[in-house]
Amino acid sequence: MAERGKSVLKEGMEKAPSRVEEAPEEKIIKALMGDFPTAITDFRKLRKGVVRARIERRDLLKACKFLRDGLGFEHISMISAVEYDNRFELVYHISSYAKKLVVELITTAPLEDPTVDSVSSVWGGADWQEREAYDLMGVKFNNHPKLERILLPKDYLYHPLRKDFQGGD
Amino acid sequence: MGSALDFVTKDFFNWATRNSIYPLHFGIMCCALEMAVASAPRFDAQRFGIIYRSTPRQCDVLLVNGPVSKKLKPALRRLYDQMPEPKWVVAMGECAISGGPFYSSYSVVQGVDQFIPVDIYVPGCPARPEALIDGFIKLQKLIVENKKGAFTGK
Repeated sequence: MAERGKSVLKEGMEKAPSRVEEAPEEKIIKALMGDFPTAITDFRKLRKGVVRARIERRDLLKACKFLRDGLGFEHISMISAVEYDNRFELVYHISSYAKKLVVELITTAPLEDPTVDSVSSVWGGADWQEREAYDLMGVKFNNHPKLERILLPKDYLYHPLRKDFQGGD
Repeated sequence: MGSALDFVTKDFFNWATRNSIYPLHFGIMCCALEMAVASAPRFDAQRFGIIYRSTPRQCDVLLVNGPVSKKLKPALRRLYDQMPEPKWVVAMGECAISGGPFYSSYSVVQGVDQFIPVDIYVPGCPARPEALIDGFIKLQKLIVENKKGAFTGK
């Protein structure tokens, strides 16, 4: 127990970082903008701990490698595929448990060519998420170790969650 | 000789069969919990001799709970083929009877009787445990009506 009046810090320990510094979300923004100045657009903070950015699909793999190695985002939480009337969008939720931050990366692919680079070489957890996106929406991933159907039978012919799929069999 | 043995043992073997029905634990979705509760103390299916087993080789009844997806269909057919005679099938719950609330889904088979012959249908969504036990009582009546000798098969 420290005596009253004496500091608890001994020699060799460093002081805790000051609370008055920029929020970690802004630091991510600066780091990503610095490395990918032309590819990242529409960067904003959604709420505490969540940041959203749009990225071109050709820079996706490099940005994901940088997120994992340089910024410490070790967990791919979800990969969702969204179909609009003129494009496909892929939303990647990438989290860091150490820093309690989530980055939403959104890439766009045209309807005629729904292919994106696979990030399963960066995070292993992306493997089955991408297989599900392929199975139900028909989005193809380049360099995926095993891109085949995961929820529907292997010889099923359609991608059921597309907007032009007629329901039923 | 066979028919004499049959004459002596037929009623006894039939009584033993219908009072020791062993269903296979094949719970898929919500009705599986009702199947589990039916053997719990409140509803107690075990007083009728119904003990759930985990391997199809030792079972009399294939109890199908829940919707069967197209991907599960060949596996379930194989389980049915692995059961030795005499065997029966009970379809429990709307999903196993006809596809239930998932009738127009792209991945659900519309009723398990599309690829397996079913003897007893237990309705309900989920089927109440008392309804399941009532289904097993009806199965016992069915076994009495179709009494067959073990030695001659008649």
